Amino acid sequence: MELKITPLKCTGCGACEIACSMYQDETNSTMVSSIILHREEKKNYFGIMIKTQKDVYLARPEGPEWLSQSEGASGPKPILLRPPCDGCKNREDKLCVKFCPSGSIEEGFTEEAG
Amino acid sequence: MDLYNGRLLVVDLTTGKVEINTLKEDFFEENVGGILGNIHLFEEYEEMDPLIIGTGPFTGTLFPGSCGGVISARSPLTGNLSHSPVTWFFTPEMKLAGFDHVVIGGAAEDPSFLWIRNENAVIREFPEDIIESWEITDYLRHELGDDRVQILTTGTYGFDGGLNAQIIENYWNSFERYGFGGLMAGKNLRAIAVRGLGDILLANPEKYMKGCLKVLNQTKNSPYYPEAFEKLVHSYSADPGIEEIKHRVDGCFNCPIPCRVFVKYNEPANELSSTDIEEPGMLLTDFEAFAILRKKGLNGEKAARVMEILSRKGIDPGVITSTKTNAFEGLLKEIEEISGIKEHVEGDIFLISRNNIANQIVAYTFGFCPVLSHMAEIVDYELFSQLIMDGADIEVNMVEVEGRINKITP
Ligand code: SF4
Ligand code: SF4
Ligand code: SF4
Repeated sequence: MELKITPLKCTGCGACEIACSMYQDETNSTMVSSIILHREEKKNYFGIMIKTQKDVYLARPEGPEWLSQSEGASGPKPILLRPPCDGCKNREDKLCVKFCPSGSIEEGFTEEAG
Repeated sequence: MDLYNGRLLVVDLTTGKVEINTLKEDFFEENVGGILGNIHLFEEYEEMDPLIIGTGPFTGTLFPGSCGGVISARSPLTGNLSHSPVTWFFTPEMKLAGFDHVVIGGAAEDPSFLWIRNENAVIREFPEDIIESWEITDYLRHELGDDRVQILTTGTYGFDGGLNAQIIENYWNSFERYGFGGLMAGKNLRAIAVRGLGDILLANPEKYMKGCLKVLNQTKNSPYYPEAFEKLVHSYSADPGIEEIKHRVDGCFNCPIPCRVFVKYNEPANELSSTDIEEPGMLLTDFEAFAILRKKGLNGEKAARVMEILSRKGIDPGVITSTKTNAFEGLLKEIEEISGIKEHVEGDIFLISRNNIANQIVAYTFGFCPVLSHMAEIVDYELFSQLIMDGADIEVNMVEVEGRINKITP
């Protein structure tokens, strides 16, 4: 994955979901992104998950984890049905990196679990 | 329509009628949205004693702080048309559900909630005995089967007819200061629930994003950047005192300078996992009330516990200014007994400070957070006009808009 994530910097703002939808479908939405924001609100437990080419990366605050795509989040549009992150290969910049206001998502490299 | 939905939801709780009306381009050319749109609609629907929720052109988009919406109604406290911000995630979801403005009038016969999604809405019955805000939100998210449903409600105090009843955003205190929670209770409206599975289209996505990025970079020059809760508490000459209980900083939808902090006092603050403790603490949203509690001598944890009680009951934390005691137990007793006319309500638009007032009204109009507008110099009429052009391909007469904004600026 062409991204480096620092989960504890995340503020749960959800800008990355919209930014990624703008890349994937040129639309302002939370339904077509490779990123899904997860939040257990009363516990303040939150973080993003990213569908990569083979797996799903879970940016858990207590430490990241890889899941298989079938284990990813459910909800109105499960991660299984979303496009995987391709590092915004059709652009010069990566939109989630550009619009993440906290610096939680940066350009970089994270080895996939396989 | 691009950038906007071009759709108005009108709900009459008395008759149970739900109407979806078109808002044409000229409505937005004239009113832009947000507070100016709400004022326009209030005149049209006044006889329904409506509660109106408005989004702006930037709400729910990549414009920084675009959680910003506005709720307008005749205040039960002052009798005047008044306006408060809606923050957190409600209005972005409302816009993604297909509506720019929602008008809710009349009163239901039985306890009800309004469920807005997929360009439609239904009025449904709500259990009589669930009246605490946290329970209401838990109940609805469970019933509707989605944790991302956003909810406006009030709490036990509001549904018991308390005057200072505040609108609660999911579980947390809002910046609503005009007793609109009581208005909801009077309408037998337990909650408004919304989920947005749709999208907002943009006429020229690349140019729109470029403008948003420019604003995002400007926010980074703010003295409050990158997080603001403690700095804001300090600005009321109070020491935050939350080092021991601070868990994580939380931002509303797309906020670059989060002013909210979650504190944990029912489990260790450094616990990062999701444990069996369902209610480990509280999201501190109202930094002004928190500062006042600290100045009354409460330690950080006790002040946070007071905020939790206020949010559960749906009491406006502004009442803290009129409580006389500074002892924790006495304060809780006073909060329990609050019923009279509140003393602190000022003006008809909630303002976070007396500085930069016009910029806060601009935020209310265009759909970003007035607190952010207070903290960062981002108002730029020329750029905003260009962004509406890039987003919606419509031309707004900014001189007229500025004139109307100045006219309602106190
Ligand atoms: S790099 Fe691009 S495709 Fe990948 S998650 Fe970010 S925005 Fe989406
Ligand atoms: S944009 Fe950044 S801070 Fe916001 S939710 Fe995504 S990763 Fe977290
Ligand atoms: S400044 Fe505060 S209230 Fe406004 S959007 Fe950011 S976190 Fe929310």
